[in-house]
Amino acid sequence: MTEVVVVTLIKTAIILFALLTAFAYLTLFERVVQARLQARLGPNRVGPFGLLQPAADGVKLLFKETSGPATRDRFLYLAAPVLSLAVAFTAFTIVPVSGPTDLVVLGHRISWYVTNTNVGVLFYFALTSLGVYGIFLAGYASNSKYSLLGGLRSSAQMISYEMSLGLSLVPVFIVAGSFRLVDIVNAQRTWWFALPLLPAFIIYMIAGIAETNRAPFDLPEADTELVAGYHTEYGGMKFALFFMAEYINMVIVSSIATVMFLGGWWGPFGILPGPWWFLLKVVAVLFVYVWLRATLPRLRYDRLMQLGWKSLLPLSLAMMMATAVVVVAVQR
Amino acid sequence: MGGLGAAMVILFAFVAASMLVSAVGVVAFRRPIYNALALVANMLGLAVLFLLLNAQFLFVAQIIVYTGAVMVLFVFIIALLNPRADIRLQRPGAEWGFGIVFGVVFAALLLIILSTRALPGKPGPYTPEAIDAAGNVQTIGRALYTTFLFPVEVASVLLLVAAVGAVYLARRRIH
Repeated sequence: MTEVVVVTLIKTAIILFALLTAFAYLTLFERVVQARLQARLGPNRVGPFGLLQPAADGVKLLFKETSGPATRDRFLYLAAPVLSLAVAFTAFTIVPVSGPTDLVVLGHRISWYVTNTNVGVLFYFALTSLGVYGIFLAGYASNSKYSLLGGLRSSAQMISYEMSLGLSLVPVFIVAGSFRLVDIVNAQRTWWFALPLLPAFIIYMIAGIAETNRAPFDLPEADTELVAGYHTEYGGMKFALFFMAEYINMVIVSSIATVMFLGGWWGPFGILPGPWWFLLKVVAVLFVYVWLRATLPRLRYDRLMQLGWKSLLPLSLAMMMATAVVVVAVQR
Repeated sequence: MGGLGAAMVILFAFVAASMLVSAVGVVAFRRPIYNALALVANMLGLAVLFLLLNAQFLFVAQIIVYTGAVMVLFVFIIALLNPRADIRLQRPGAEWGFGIVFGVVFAALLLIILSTRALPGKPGPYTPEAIDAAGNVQTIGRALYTTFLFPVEVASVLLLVAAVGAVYLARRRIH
């Protein structure tokens, strides 16, 4: 009992530290990759190759004067960014970083995940449905028209794409026969699910971009019309919390894509240990996200909704039925 | 089991207390959005109670369906209709009177049930061990699609009718 609590606390601390580091360097990664794609150099002044840039950004945001609209709802204005970030952090607890054997430290067998719950990835969907509140309440509490519109758009978008996101994973559950992420990765030992379930993987990736409010689906913070959307009225460290939540959500969407479709910790030929494969695949998915941001223009709002409800949702339903029929036919 | 049982009791007490506080908040706050958010907090507490009872699927479903879908719409509509208005409901005597009468009747019913019939506590077919062996989601899925297939299908048709009806009403306004 005590051992379980202590081990879980240590793992939680490691996840917090790792996700914060990942956030810091993901911002740098994004800026450098974007710069290269636009034939620029990108940040390269702070530290060797600009590697200390995230620290400089952090210090700047920390020391900025905090200000907010005088008519804000003080409690919700503070609670919204905290909620967003807390939800983002919690989601990573279900991701198995490596396997299938446990890590042995000083004679203790330690698993590569915090929790391997039976409901598995459904827990992630429960958390994203709570994440909507963080963004929407930020828009409401700021008491500003840009914020409210941004918050509205964003929650409508997240709720719409959550359906396709969830349904795109159902084929994986059908093939793997489990919700547990560890079982799902183990089922991909020979074939990654991205190959037989390619349409589901593509739907997941598109819905994942919308779910994290990233370009080309960054309507909630469409700068040309909404200033900065739901976090227009936020500055300094409070803004940084939203920023962190967005990037950590990207990491989590990529991690779940890795686990569900790209074989998790399994790599070909047995070279490199499991965690490295996991990391490599997550970085590859993140690169696709950054690449898309540099390439595609923003969609119009009605187009975005049409894409979600009229294309992705029916496609993911069809994919789900097709997978079920094929699996049952094979089992016969 | 001892340590775990005690931890469960403490957790339950904490969750139950915060649920009571949020339930009072649903009726006591003066601003509509706080009432709705108190209801959200209450539903989250209920989800945690499901989790403490080892019903993981219900925990997730409760959050996704109620806090994630139903209550988001409540909060949406409240925020859109009156973002600033502090509705100061006058609380006339009649409302308090009804509240007291129904509160007393409900409490009396609860007390009578609790005092006259002891909770059975006898194990049915779904013991924690049996559920763990099959899996939480699997157990619920099997029950829903074999034993309770007919009610599930009826409920889904009902929901479909409601959705079609809502779309029809919404479209009629536009034309």
